[in-house]
Amino acid sequence: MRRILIVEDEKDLGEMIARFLKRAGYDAVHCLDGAAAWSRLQKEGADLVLTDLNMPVMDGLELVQRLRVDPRFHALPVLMLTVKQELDQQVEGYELGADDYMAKPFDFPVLLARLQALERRTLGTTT
Amino acid sequence: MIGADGAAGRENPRGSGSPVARAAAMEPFSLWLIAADPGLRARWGRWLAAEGFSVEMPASLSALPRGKAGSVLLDAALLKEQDLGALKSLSESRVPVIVFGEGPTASNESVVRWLQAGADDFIPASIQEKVLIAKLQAFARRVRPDSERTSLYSRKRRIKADVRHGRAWTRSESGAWEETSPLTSTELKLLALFLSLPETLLERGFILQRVWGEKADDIFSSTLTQHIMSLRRKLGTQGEALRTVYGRGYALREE
Repeated sequence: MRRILIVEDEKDLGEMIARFLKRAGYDAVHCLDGAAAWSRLQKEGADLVLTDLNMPVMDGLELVQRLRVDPRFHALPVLMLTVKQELDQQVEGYELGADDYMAKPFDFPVLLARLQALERRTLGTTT
Repeated sequence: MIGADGAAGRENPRGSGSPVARAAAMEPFSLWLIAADPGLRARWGRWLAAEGFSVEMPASLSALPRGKAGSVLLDAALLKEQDLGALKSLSESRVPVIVFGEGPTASNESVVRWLQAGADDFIPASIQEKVLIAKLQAFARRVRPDSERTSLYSRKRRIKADVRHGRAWTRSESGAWEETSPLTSTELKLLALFLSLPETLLERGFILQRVWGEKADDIFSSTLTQHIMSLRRKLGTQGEALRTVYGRGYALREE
């Protein structure tokens, strides 16, 4: 079972995503900001990261930047959640190492299809 | 190359080249653009070529050259039922396919359908140039993990350089990126070196070798000092992060 780390400071949304992804067959865990996610990754690792962009303490951009310079996580697939208008931040996210982004609000079936495509592309799974 | 105390420079870096030289030496990443609209073909072809991609425009999926690594940009309007098998087969042979479209082809249902059929991504045809380029560069990094990053950021994301186009930006107090005055090629090489080895003491000999290569022995130490001072000036208040470590070298350290 793939382990997916969800980093989302809106508690209700993060938990809702985790519930949805658990139903879809993932081992989904939720953290409220990038610092908590970074700490959890050191201890438990993950197969994929789904992170919001704007968060307190450590935002999604800093998290992805840290991942890409750490040999343990530099290939870890990352999908970012952004607000539609934040084009510059999307570009910055890609340049720092994110693999894909989704604009909020989003539909869960689209999120699942994007995660599965990302898995195929980066982890070599067939879905 | 990086010592236990975080200093770089005790080993001879000759031959490894600077981030700028490595980016320039990269083989172009191949893209096959299959699009119905001639205007889009011309526009995207121009954007992609300017970013160093090698772009070919076959008429259909079946006309794709075999055995060549790259990615496919495919117009949803040209996809027929019989192409879905080809899409799956490309996906299985790890050739990334990005489907693009607009209007009814971009509904959530159709996005899910294309992704499930084997597409790696679905993007609107109206995508902005900078987002398309950044996305394709992210794809290229996955297909070619050894590829050099062309956009480099400082650790606190206050300084950014585009080594392909020789441009640099600093973060203003409002959080917006402001482009610096044009950097000389030496300043760009220096900045790229500091951005690729942040928070690390770079010894003067190491910097000379990385920036001037074979000519390093002919360069006066004061020449390096002059280039560093000029780079600091162009980086404005963010230039303070470029610190002198007296008697040894320089380090990019952000508070």
